[in-house]
Amino acid sequence: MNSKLRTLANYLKLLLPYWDKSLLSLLSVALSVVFGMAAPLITKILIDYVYPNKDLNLLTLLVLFGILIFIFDTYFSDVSSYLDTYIHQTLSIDLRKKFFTKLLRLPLGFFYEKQVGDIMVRITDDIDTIVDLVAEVIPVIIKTFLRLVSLFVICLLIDHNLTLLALLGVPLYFIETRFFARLYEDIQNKTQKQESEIYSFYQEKMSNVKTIKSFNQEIHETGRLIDKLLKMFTLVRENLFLGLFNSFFDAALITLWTSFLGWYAGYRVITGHITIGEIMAILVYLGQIHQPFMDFGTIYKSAVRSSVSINRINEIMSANPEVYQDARTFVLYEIEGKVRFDKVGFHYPDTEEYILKNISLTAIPGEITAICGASGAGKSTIIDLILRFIIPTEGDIYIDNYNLKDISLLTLRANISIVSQDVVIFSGTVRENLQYGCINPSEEKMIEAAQMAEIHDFILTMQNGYDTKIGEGGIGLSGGQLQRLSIARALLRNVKILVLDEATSALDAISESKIYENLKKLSPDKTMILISHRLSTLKNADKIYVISENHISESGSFDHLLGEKGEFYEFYKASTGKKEVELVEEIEIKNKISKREKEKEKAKKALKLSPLEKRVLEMYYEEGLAYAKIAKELGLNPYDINLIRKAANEKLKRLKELEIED
Amino acid sequence: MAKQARRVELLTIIVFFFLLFTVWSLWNYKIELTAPSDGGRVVIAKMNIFELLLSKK
Repeated sequence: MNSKLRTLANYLKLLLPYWDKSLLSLLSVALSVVFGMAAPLITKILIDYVYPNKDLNLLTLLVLFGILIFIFDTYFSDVSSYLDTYIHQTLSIDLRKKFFTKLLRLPLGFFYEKQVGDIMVRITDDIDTIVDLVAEVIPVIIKTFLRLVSLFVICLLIDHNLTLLALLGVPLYFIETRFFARLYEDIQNKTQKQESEIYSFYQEKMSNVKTIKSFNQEIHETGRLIDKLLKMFTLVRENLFLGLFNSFFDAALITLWTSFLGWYAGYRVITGHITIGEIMAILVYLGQIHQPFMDFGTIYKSAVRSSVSINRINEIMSANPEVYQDARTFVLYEIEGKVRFDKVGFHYPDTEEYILKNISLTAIPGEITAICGASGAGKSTIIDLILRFIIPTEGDIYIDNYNLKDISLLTLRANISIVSQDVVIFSGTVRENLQYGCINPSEEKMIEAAQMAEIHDFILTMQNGYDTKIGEGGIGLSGGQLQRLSIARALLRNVKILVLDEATSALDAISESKIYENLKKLSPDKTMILISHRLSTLKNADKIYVISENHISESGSFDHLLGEKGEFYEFYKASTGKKEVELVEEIEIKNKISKREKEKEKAKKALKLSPLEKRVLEMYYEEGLAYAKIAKELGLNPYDINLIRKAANEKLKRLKELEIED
Repeated sequence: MAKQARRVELLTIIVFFFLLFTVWSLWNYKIELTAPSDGGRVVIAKMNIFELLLSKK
C-alpha cells in the first residue's frame, strides 16, 4: 500500500506546473461548497420565522440573497470545471509525451517481448485512467472534506444529538467500500489484459488481411475474435454485477440509516427539542451527508482500479532506456568507416543456444562486403549487433578503432544507414519519407539519391511528384518501388557505413544491376555491407563471408569461393541448377580469364614509362631537340639519351600490342 | 487555450474580490427582525444575514 501511495504521489507531482490553476480551482470548489450550505438555512428561517411572523421585507431580502448565492455558486462551479478540464487535458498531453519519448528510447528487445496492441492500450486507456485519477483526486478530496466538515459543523450547531447519531453510520460505510474495492482490483486487472489481447489481435489481423484472404481464413479469424470478445463480455458482466451489488449495498445502507435518522428527527420535534424549520434543514443536510462518503468511496475504488494502470505505465517508465550519449562515450565525428568483428558471439539472455559464435570479419571503406548463408544462419543478427540493438555476449565490435560499447549511440546510428528487408513507409509524402532522419536535406541531394536508387523517374510520373501522399491513406507502392525508395532514403543520409539487408530482393536483375553500378561509384568513400543469398547481389561484392551453423565457414571473393568447392560452391550449384561438370568448366574458364587479366595488369605496370623516359620522348619528338642538347639539359651523356629513347619506344610498342589484344 | 485560461483566472480573481466586497457589505448591513403586535410591527432583533442564518433563537 505504501509503495502505491508513493507512486500516486509521484504522479501528483505532475500537477506542480499547474499550481496556480489548481489553487484557483480548489478555491472555487471551496466557495461552491460553502454556497451550497446556504439553501437549507434559508428554508429554516422561512419556516421558523418569516411565515409565522409574516415578515415580507425579510422574505424579499432572503429571496434576493438566494439569487446572489445562486449566481456566485454557478460561476465558481463552472470556473472550477473549466480549470479542472484544462489541467486534465494538458496533463494528458504531458504524460503521453513523456511515455512515448520513453518508449522510443527502450531497447529493441522490449518490443520483441510486448505486443503492439498491449502498448497501444497502455498509451491510450491506461494513461487516461491515471490522468482521470490525478486530475480529480485532490479537488474531490478537498471538496469532499470541506463539505463533510461544513455539514457536520452546521448540523452540530442545529442539533448535536442527531448529528452524533449520524456519525455512527460512517465506519460501516468504509468497511463496505473497502470490501468491494479489493474485488474491483482483481477484475480490472483481468479486463485490461483481455483488452490488450483484443487490440493486438485487431492490429495483427488488419496488417495481414492479404494472408487471411489467400488462405480463406476469414471465418476462422472471425471465430477467434468472437471467442476473445466473449471472454471480454464475461469480464464486463462480472464488473457490472459487482457494480450493481456495490450500488445496492451502498443505497441500502444509506437508506436504512437515513430512515432511522428521519425517525429520530421526528421524535426530537415532537418532544419539543428542535423546531420544524431546523428539522427540515438538518434532514436536507443529513441527506447530503452520504454524498461525500460516496465520493470518497468512488475515489478509493478509482485509485484501486488505476493502480493496475499505474503498474502498467510504470513498467515502461522505470525500464532502462538505451543510453544515447553520456560523458563516458566517444562521439563519432569524421570516421573512415571500417567495421571489424573480433570473435563475436551472441545468444539471447533466456537461452544458451548461440545465434552467432566466434565471428571475425572486416568490412573496409572502398569495398563491398557481403554476408550470406542459409535462412536463420544469423545474418540479420549481425546488423542488430552493428546498430547495437543487441549487445554481443562475447567478443568486440569496432568502428575504426573504437569499441562499439564505448561509442555514443546517437552518433553511432547517425553514421550508419540501413536498408532493411521489411521496408517501412510512414504515412506522408514521398519527400517526407525520403527525408526521414535527414538534417537539412537539400532538394538537389534528394533528387540525386532518388536517381541513384532508380526511382526518380517513377516519382515524376506520380500525381504530385515528390509531394504525393504514400503509406496509409495514400498511394500504395509495389515491393520493388518500396525497396528503391528505401535505398534512396538511406543514400540521402550520406553516411560512411551503408548496410543493405536483402535490399534488392524484390527488384528485377536489370534494376538491381543498375543500382549496384551506381552504388559502386560511391564505394571508394563508403563501407558497404550486403546481406543476401541472391547470386546476382553477391556477384557485386569484393569479399563474401559465408555463415553456416552460427559461424563463418568460408570467406573470399566470389570466384575464389567457387574455386574452393565448399559451401558457397554447393549454394551456387543449387541456385544455378548447373551440373558439376558444367560448373567445373565454368570455374576453370573463369580462373584462366582471371589469371590472364592479372598477368596483363602486371605486364602493363612493368611497361609504365618513368618520368625520365617521358621527358626524353617529349624533348625529342615534340620539341625536336638533338641528343646533345637533351643530354646537356638532363645532365646525362648523349649515348644514354639514345638508349633511353629506344627503351621507351619498345615499352610503348609493347603496350600497344597488349591493348590490341584487349 | 493557455491565453483563454489566463483570462478566466484573471476574471475569477476579480469576481472573488467582488465577492469579498459583497460579504463585507452584507456583514455590515443590519436586518431588522419584526413581529406583529397590537400596536403594529415591533422590532424584535437586529442582526446581519449571516448571524440570522446561523441563529438558534
